[in-house]
Amino acid sequence: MSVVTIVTGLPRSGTSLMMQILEKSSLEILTDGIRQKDNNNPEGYFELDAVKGIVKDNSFLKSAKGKVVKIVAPLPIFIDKSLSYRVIFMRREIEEILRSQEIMLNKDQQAEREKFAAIYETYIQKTHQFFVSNNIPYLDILYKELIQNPKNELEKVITFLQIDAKWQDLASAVNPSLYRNRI
Amino acid sequence: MLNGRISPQLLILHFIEIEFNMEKEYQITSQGSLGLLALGHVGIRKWREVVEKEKLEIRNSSKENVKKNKK
Amino acid sequence: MSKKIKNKILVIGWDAADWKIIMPLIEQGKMPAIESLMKRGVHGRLQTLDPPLSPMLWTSIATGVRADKHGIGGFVEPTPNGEGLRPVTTTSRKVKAIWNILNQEGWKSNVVAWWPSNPAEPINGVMVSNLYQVATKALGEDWEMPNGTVHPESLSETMKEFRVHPHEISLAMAHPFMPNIVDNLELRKANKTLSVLKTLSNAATIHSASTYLMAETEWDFMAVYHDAIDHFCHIAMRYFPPRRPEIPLEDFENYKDVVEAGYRFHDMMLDRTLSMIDENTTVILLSDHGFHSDHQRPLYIPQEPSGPAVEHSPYGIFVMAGPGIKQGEQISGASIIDITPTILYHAGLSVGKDMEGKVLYQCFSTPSPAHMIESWENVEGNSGQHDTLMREDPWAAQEALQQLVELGYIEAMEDDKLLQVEKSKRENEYYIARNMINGGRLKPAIEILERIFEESNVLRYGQRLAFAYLSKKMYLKCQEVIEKLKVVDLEERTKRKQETEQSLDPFGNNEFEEPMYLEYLEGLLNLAMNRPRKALPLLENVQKKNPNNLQLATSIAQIHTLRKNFKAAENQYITALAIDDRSTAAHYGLGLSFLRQSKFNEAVDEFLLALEQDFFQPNIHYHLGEALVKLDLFEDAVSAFQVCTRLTPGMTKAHKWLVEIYQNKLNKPELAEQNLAFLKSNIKGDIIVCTGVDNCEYEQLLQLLNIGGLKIDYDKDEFNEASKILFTNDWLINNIGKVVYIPSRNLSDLPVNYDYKVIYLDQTLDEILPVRTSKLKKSIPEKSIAVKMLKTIEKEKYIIDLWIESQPNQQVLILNWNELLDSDVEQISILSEFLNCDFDLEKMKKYLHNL
Repeated sequence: MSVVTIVTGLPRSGTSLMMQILEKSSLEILTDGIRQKDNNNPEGYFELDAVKGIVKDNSFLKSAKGKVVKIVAPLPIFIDKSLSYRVIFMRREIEEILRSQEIMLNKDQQAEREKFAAIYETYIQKTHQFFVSNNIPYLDILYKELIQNPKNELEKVITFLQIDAKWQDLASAVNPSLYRNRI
Repeated sequence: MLNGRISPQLLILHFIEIEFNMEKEYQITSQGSLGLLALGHVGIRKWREVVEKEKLEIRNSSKENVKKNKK
Repeated sequence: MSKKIKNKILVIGWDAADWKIIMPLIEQGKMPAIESLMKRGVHGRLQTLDPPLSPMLWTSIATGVRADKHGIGGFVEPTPNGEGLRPVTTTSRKVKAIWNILNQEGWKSNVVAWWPSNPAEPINGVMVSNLYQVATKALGEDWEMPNGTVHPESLSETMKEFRVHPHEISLAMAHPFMPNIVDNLELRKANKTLSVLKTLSNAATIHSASTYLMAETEWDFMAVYHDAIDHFCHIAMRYFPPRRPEIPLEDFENYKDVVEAGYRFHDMMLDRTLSMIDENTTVILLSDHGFHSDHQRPLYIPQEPSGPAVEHSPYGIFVMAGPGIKQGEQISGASIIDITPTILYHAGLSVGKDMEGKVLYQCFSTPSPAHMIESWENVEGNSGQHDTLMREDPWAAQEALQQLVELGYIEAMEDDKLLQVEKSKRENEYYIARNMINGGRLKPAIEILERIFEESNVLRYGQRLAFAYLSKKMYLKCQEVIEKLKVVDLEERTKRKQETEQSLDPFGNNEFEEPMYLEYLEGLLNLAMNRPRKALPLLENVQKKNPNNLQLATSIAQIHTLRKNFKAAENQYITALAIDDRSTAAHYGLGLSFLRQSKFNEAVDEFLLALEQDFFQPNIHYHLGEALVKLDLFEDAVSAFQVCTRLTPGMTKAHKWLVEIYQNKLNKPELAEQNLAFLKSNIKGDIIVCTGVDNCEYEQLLQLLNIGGLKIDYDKDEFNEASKILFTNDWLINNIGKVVYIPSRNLSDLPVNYDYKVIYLDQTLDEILPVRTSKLKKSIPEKSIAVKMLKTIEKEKYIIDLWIESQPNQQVLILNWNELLDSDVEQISILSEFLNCDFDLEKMKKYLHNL
């Protein structure tokens, strides 16, 4: 298979969780294990260091064909458009995302929340628009739904990605106690 | 060549006013003038035509000289 | 959609064009095109905004609002991918420009090279961005246009043709700018020469693009922006005649004609443009600021971002001609933020209430009130703006990207690039703060300046903060910042001296020839706090090194006026007018000096000159009226006072004069009665309020005023009554024309329907502390009480400062007790002037000596 599967969404929207879920399937995850698990992501990040430099150099995507790679929004707008993609787009309440980021950064950003919320909304819209304009299929998955009602969301993922698996196979990755860093 | 339909102001060369005469024609050279620039797109086009024509003449003249020298 | 007006509107911008250059050229017959435009229309000065930075100003011109609203806060912004900085773009503008509003109303517009206009917006018409004329390759190489330079894209190829490359400029074209260029081969290679040629080619490029669009497209509105005059002036104004001693003769001879040639070429382009339109097209020609061309040319350019802006002067040009516009008249009071409201009005469209500018009704033959709407931002329609996803606050976006870096999701920017972005962000915030101060929004400006100064210790941020505190009457804070600036300034100078060698080049390299701003600040602070004895020597010292500083001269003149030294004030105002004979403040001040020296005819002349510059100044009309009364010209005096009351209906003293004149001079009792009725219904009366921190010497001050002749029914019960003002203020009606004491904590309870004159008795903590502590029991340890008391006293002072700064148009006199004791005559006369009464000076002096 030559399609690159991207898991995207704003940081702290459940992208790592989705990577864990997909790891339970037959799909190969593209990660280098450089970023280790920690309190903010006890099950790990499932990241690829090369993604950090995607603005200048997106050539690593050639080695992602047939695999799953995590690229947080809005970075997918810098992908190599000559390749084929499908996208899982993690969605979470922006307020929750911001608070989760604050905990991760150990910062009080209450004064800046409104400003960041506006920019993050724009990131989501830009990323969506990019997919639409470039005919890249994507599936929105609600983080809250995934945690509280995994069956529906996982079945959507299975159908979208055409995975040969049952939702129960993937559900073990979903752990409600990890609905974490949410005040 | 520009005809006499242009306002006198635009034919100020080096800010020395010249007398405008309906029957007189203004000779554009490859050096051009501020007046031509002030005419805008029309002046630019006319001036560049002259510049290109001059370049062509020079090229042709060089070729002729080369031929002559070979003989 | 409103009915489209048949007549077209053409706006031409000449960056930095100045009447001081244009008028003499017109008189010499060298700018006939602008002269003809002025004759068939109106013209005047156009006030700029601060800071005078072109991308901010041209956006204010196009939107009618200041930078904090329109979002263009400087020259650069961060790139969307967080890789560094780029020139400011149209996607950062937060509001609609005039062409967007017209777009919604069905107008077709062409916009050429506006700043900023890249990427070109998808308007109904053609937009050519300000990157169009920039030559990025050598002549003959493929000179590509960046993406977004031309809208519609289909016209890009066509428009390429009209660009003129700097290397195309011939000797014949360059000769009027630099006559020596024909014979001087070295001159042809000089950097300055190349800059002149580049600027000329840019102007020719913009002009040919605009003539093409005028001729070949349908349009209803067109806006063309030329930056060449500004560039010619930055390159060569130092060589503009007369030659200054520090300018090398050879350079002067080579470049002295550049500025004049630049202006004349613009007039030639204007002539061509005017020949392509009919008389039904309205033309607006303007500049965003002027350019100092005389003794006000700065001697050096500060080594800071936008340093060259010190060469800009506060007034640009404005000319408007077309159907419905007056002819051959001069107008005043116009500002660059008035342009868009005026265009909208002229186009028969509504004006947004959220626009900070006003319609220039004075331009129109038969004006009628504009129709107002809340905001054009609320009006739906195809505005031709970029997609909402493209439009974002670039600094907020950069912060969000930085957040992603901190979260570990993208690579960090290189340290030096990150530093550059952070510095640019602070610089932009500094410009926004200055713009806010210029618009009277001191509080948010102070918040910004406090933060960026704290973060960076950049001197000019601190200077501006000090000036902002001064304007807001936050004197303690101002003093604190001055002390901090002294420390930071010394550290910087020490560091610079160690790192570099001093250069004597007056144009940019002499880093140690600073304009003595600290002394200047301290001088102004002392002046504001009514310490003229301390203020004067500081400001005079600064003036020795800065003889051409207008504000300095007027500040010194103010001190002389305060000290009743009217002859010295007169001399200073004359000095000020020698610096700038268009200064309203200087003409007004000179008029007051003459008035107080009983030179009434001269006073009237000066007041009239001041009003010519700025008609909408009620105080000038008031004093003009006063001078006319002294000359027994009562009818004229009435006219002056009437204008005053129309401008400021609440000015009771003007109404009082009208009552006096109508009753006793013109025998028009019915008109006197009208003014009396106004006074009775609006203002209950004047009350003099003494205040200060608790335990200040207010009792002695009240005694002093009483001895001087003021009515004070003071006793302990009165004091108790005053402190009940929180609950009732009915008792004030019995104290009209008298002096009352109001404790600092009750100042905010004073009702608004009286006129107050506030005397704030200022004493040092050292003077008050002993009085307070002495009232306490001796058994309590002294030191701890002193510390607690200090904090309380500081807080009380802060409350008073806060109240004073919150009162618009409040008359406040800060009376320093020590100054009163040391310079009794001077301070008593200041009191007398402030309270507008004649004191018994001898009795008051005797009382003070006996204290």
